[in-house]
Amino acid sequence: MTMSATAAEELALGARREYLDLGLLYLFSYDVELDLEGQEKLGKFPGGVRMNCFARRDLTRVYHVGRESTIPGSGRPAISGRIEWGGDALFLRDDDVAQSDIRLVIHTDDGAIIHMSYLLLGYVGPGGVSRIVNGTGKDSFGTENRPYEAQIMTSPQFQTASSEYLWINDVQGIGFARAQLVRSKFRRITCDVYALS
Amino acid sequence: MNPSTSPPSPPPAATSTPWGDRNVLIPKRLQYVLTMEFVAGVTALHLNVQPRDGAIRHLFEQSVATLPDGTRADLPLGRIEAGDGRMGTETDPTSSALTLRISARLGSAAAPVLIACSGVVNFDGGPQGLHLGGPRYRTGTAFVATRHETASATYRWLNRRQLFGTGRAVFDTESDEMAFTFDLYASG
Repeated sequence: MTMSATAAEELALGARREYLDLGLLYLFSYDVELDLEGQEKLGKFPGGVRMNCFARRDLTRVYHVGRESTIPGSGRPAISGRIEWGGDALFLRDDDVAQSDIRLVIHTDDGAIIHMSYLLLGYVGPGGVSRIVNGTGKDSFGTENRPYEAQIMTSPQFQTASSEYLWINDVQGIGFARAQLVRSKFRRITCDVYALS
Repeated sequence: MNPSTSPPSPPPAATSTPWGDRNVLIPKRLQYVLTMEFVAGVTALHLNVQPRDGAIRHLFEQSVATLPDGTRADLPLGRIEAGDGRMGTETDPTSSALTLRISARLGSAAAPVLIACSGVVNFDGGPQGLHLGGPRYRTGTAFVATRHETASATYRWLNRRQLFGTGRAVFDTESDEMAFTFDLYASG
């Protein structure tokens, strides 16, 4: 048996011809209603427009879609509760990409506090940023009767001091979400969060 | 309105159910696009990424991929020029956090791209456990989300999305070098 001389040889860098194992472990879902009146448009900056959005703490929910008490495939307690605080520092770039730095605090039903943060990138289409910032009438995204649903991907990471959920500190998450816009204002977000495994 | 001429109702979407009562998962898709491989020198918990030809490639040498949203993307063969990063954080060196910033050049035109990676790396005993003795090669798993900045029109699709990576890490305790290999996926 040939002994590897370096770490690169140990991993066969450049020679691998098969995929690494990829798994997605469903953790929880959350629904957030955004405070439409509290959205702040900070104005035009080099590279784009900045906006701040905040969650309505009374209209959020963290839950398991299957209403399970444990995470199937893991055996750990399922995460359910509410979002106590949430903020989104949104940067609408000149290349029509929406870039967000989002932080949420989850209060679970069993009293734990989990901080979740993630960066978000989404392409809003040609002229999309202008429609979000300036759009009125037919130029805006979505109406009350037909909200516009945008598909977004998130990459959450977690921090908690709760002994019950310490395992989540070592998780890199991936979130599949839908955002609803009404008259070009972000109304609500629903997201499924998975752990990469 | 005559019921027979009205258009059929579309099937209910996952997000059209009452708020907080969703009982179906949102559809998800992952499409493999790239593999990124590199070696980094390790000083304490700081990583110094070394230049490497062919560090960004497709496992099966494909040049085009169809992304989950239906768009087609040119896949680069790239070289890593330089980079740095760290394991853990300033306030908690034992955490599994992994951050990397890599500069690379893609394709035949050597288009520059900046890649920012954030994620986790897990070894037995945490990052501090790498220096506690034991077998020469310490292996672990790593998962990252990557964001990219490039001015190249060919690879503009990288600017518009995050890629998600599953990876392996091997630390050589004799040379203090760590090798990483990631499979990166586009999602939608």
